[in-house]
Amino acid sequence: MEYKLTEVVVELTKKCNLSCAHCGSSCTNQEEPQELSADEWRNCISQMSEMGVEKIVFSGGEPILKEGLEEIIRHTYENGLKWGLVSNGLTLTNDVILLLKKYKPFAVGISIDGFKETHNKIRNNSNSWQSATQAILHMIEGNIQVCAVSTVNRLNYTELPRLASWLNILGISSWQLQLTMPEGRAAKGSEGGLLIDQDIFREVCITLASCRKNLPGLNIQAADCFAYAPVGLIRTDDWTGCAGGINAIGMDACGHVMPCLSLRPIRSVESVRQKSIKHLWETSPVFDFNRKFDTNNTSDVNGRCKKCFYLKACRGGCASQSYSYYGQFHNSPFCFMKTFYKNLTERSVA
Amino acid sequence: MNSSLSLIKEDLMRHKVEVTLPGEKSKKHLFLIIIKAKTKLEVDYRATFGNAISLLHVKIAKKIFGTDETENEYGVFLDNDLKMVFSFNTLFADYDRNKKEVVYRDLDSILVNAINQIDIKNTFDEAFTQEKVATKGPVGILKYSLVEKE
Repeated sequence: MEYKLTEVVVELTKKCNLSCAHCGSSCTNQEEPQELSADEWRNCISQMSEMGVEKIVFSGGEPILKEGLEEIIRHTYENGLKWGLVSNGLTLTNDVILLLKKYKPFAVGISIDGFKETHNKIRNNSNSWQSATQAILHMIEGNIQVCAVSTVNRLNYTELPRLASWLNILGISSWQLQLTMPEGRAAKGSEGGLLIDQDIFREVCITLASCRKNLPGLNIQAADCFAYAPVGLIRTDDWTGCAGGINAIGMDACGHVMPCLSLRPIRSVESVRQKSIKHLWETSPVFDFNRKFDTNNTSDVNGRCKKCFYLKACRGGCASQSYSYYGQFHNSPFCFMKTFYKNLTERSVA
Repeated sequence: MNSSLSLIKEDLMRHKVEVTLPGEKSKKHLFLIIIKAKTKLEVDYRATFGNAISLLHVKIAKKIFGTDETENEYGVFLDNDLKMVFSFNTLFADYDRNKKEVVYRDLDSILVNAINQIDIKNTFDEAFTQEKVATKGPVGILKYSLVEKE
């Protein structure tokens, strides 16, 4: 097998105690009918361990609500896998934080979508911001690395410069920025719409790069949805394109594999109840768009991407973004390179 | 001494206001002056909002304001004997001439507004001149995943 699976993002449950306007998975306060049990997840983690997976991120829904969470993270820890968890902070009490700390997560992510008014509006809960902030401080006091995760949209992008300072003062270690996409509840739109346009994208990129420059102690990283960018400007490493099916996968709450939890329509027909993760990783066609991408045959690549020097590395940007906007891959509407540089047909080397 | 006080009082007449002080029901006629003093903002924040602030607010206020003394501005109400009857830090409250009362700013907004905004500059207008970079291998940050600080 040419590709080695190193990272799995796990949707432990679709159950959530919030109902966010931008939720790409349209989570509710109910579990899906066929969700994997804690025992089944433990089995999955054993399989991942055998496959050489290095990192698991537990997401949701709200993963803290998953029955048997402790068994799952203990099993992950005992198998020597690096693990993290993304939460909205609402139920991250001191007791839960102590429990997490026991099994040494590499980081706990807390969603922060702006300051109080904006965050609570997006998350439809008047207590959400306070809970998230409180959870951040408790974890920092408990020496847990905290990564704030902000999903950028039309309602919150102007708050980002001040939010950067705020998060830095709180003492978080990392800040991950990603873009709201037209999927789940965000696809239906809310009052005024959440989705950004090209002008906002440009402003967000400038903000992100400025924050990285001004706050070198804070690990600020643009997620894949910003597509390719020169090293160091909006993320530390050289971006190597969508990792879905290359070295990473998402697994939904019912055990289906997919390139990314943001690519929910592109999921395996069979779940881990029918086939092993190894089998799905090696044979599922849901990864073909990435694995079989051929720069000599770019019929499904449009616009400036088609002749872009970076197409080979970038493969048309964020797959889930491209798919959610256009229903096809390799045509991400938001691209750092297209936004800031005119000539992309050849590499400009100093 | 008495004549000096009279002069001061005369000058102060320009500062006479009608006010219903916090916790009181009736209006009073008092002098309102502005003074500056070196104090700890974090202490003022707690003193101003008392039980209305949570432990979370206190923790954040300490991080934002620090614990050193800084020069702060106060509104001070004096009675006819020039004794102070009430004061407030102008960062946290103000005298509302229309309402004739002391109005408090939102205790969350105070903390947020006390933060310096990052200087935002576009640095991408120059030609792209990136050297080839050796990557660590596949690098990406899936939405729903999590970055880590090494």
